[in-house]
Amino acid sequence: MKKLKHESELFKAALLAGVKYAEGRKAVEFEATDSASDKALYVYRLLVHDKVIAPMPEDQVSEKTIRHRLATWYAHQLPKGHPLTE
Amino acid sequence: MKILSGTGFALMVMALALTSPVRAQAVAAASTAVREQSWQVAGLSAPADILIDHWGIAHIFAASARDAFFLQGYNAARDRLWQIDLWRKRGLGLLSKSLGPAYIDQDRAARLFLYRGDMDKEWDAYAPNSRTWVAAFVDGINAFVAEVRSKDKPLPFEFKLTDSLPDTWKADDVLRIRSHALVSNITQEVARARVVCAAGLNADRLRRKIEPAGHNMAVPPGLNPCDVPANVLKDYLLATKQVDFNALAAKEQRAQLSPENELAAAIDAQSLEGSNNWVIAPSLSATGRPILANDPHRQLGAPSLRYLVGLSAPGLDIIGAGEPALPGISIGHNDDIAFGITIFAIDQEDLCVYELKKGDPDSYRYKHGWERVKVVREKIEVKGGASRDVELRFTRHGPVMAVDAANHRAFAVRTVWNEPGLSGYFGSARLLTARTWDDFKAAGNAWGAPPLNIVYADVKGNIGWAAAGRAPVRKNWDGLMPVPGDGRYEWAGFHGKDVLPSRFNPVEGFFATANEMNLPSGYPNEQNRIAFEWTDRSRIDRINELLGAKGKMTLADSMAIQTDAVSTQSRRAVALLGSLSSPDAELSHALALLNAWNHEEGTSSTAAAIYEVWATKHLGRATVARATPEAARKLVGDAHLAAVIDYLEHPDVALGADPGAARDAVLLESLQAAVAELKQLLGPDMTSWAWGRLHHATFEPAVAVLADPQLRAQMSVGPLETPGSASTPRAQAYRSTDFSVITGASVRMVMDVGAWDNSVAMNTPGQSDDPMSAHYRDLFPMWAQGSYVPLRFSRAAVERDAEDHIRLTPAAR
Repeated sequence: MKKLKHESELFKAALLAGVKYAEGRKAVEFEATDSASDKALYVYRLLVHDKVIAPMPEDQVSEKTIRHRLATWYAHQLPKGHPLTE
Repeated sequence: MKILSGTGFALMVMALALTSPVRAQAVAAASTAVREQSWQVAGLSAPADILIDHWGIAHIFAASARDAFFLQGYNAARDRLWQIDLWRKRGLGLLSKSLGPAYIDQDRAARLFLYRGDMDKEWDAYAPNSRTWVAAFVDGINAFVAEVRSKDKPLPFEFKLTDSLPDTWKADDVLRIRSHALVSNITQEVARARVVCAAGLNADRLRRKIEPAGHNMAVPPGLNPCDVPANVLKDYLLATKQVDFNALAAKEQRAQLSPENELAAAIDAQSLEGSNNWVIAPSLSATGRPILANDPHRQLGAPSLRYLVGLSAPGLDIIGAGEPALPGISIGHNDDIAFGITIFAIDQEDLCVYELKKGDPDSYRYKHGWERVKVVREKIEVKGGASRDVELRFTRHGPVMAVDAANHRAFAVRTVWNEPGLSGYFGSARLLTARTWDDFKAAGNAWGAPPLNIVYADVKGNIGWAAAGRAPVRKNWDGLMPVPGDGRYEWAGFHGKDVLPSRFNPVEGFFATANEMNLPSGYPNEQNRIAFEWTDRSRIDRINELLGAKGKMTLADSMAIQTDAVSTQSRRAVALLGSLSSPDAELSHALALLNAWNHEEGTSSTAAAIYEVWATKHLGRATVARATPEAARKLVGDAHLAAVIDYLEHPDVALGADPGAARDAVLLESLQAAVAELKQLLGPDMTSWAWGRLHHATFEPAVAVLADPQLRAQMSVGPLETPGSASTPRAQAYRSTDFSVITGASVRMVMDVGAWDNSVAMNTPGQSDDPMSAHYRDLFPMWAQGSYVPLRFSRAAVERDAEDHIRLTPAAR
């Protein structure tokens, strides 16, 4: 797995977008005590369920791969020339 | 977090075990939200829509036929850009320009088989609107490529892996590429010549069955079979093979197959490809309407060879499957008729052997004089290096494959590919707007390649079948061996439209084909010489058995037949064992299992494991060892199972003074060898043996060898156990070295003719070629289970099943 340039920032932005998507879809209400990794796992599963992204092989699902997967998903949606994809 | 009730996903989160692909699929369909997108597309004439359903099938609704084909190209690029771009580069001989010097030989070989004739004649050979449709289709591809190149759309990561970019297309590209169409029989000609050289004509009888029975092969006068070298088809095989990325991945090239083994592998691969189709008349249908079913068996892999798509515009309403790089569909239906295809084995190729003039290797004997080889010089651009000048040589018959300078011989392929109107599958353009049996027959009569059985059904309740394809007239030979290229063996044109058989509303109430010899009784094949090499009858016998078994057939019955795993070939082979016994306990147990078997090759079947390992890996070889002269045994190899079973049912003195006893010894020895191999593969406990422990489906795109391990895992699909084999209607032919399924029905369709929204389909592993897409692998578990998804046709039904709605408007250029 090759780390994306700006992966950390992309993941943070992806998580924000994912949380917004999940709550907007009325599937979940996140709470202040939810950890980032819990949110990321939930968002990943929801995006897979909604066929927004493809599932990873189950034996490879980990916090690290989920962060990478969400960052990749978010990067693909950014307009060309966005600083996070440069 | 607070999980909110009332959503399908809430149920899933409460049971996180629901993450396996099969079960996740089951809940995914519960999602009903439609994602709306709006795109501006340069080149589109009027607003249009692409609705993508839950299974990734794109339904295009456009204001004109031109825009529908434009969006077919645009959408094909959206879902399959890497695949179609590679298809074009491989076909045109442009791989080196994108991938580097490892592809120069393949590029040169591909260019030998491009259509090089008059392009106006070529265009005129297809449906009247073809040029407009192809131009629109290509414009659509190019519009998407432009968006990718300007970074408005993401570059598929396969291009990043290969450090390449997608090219833009020309309309002529689509037609000039010929090498994707399945034609035959040049590999058989070469293999036969090699066997005949080694041990005579009779030595070839187990290598390949000849049909109809009673045909007497002969070596064409003037041909010395020993003139044909083993590697004569090196360029032909290069031109027709898929792109292999090992050359880019490995520091050293993998070991090359010997020419003999390479030829045998190509013949195996060709003989495993086939298809099933059938039509059922209203009189035998539970719906009161015709049913048309089709499942083409081609190379399985990721992405799927074919793509499901619907096009709707004024005057054009079609849905079905086709190769994504080609406009239109080749299997499917419009408002009025449905059509489906299987290969019909017209012999469309010959190898010509030339005598070269001593001292002038570019002159070959033709009739009473010498003709010059035409030399075409082309430049192959090479990524990362200087371009390469190559020479392409052609005789009057076709491209030169090889030259044997020491013996003053040259070899060229004569193929229908050189003729106008022979672009693979593009004859289907006439089917798209056919409304009646007469229209359909006219489309069949104009069909070029590959040669097909096309089945037909219409909304008025008619069904039919027509064999179609350009059939050369060979007045003085049968096409089974190479021939001298000196003018004694020329094609005298092509057979006319009344020569190939057809049937309209057969009295049986159904008609099926599965690549078998289906020339009608009394057909003058010795005169017409259409073909002599066909697929064995195992699949068609089972299909006819099932179609004839019930009073009224449902759509579900056709689905069950497409996924039926009973081998009638095994019935014949196991019947030979019926009276045999052995003092060996394991062999005796194996015999008992086989004799009690119902011949269903299910994943849990022990008998199926024993039968397949025995029949495909030991029986043929053991028979050849006894019945074929030693000089030809290696060339005959594992032999043709259909020919072997025929022979063992009627053994002769080639086996020895007592053919029956010798046959029984061959059967027991080969079965014992199979049992020994299975002990190695699956352990000593025979009760634990199961066909599914060996026979599995794992798909991986060729380019995956360039990916890092995690990405490669994302690109790989499977493994899943699968039933069946090459001899069952559910065709699942496998590689004998690891039992991995290599050919079979990636696409299955069952059409309810006239109530089109009831139709169903399958396309494994999914519609998209992007491993990050939700539709890359979503259909794979359903395919392995034998399930289907709806193939909606009306706009209302499509909208009910839509998950994405892309609204497209014309953009300023």
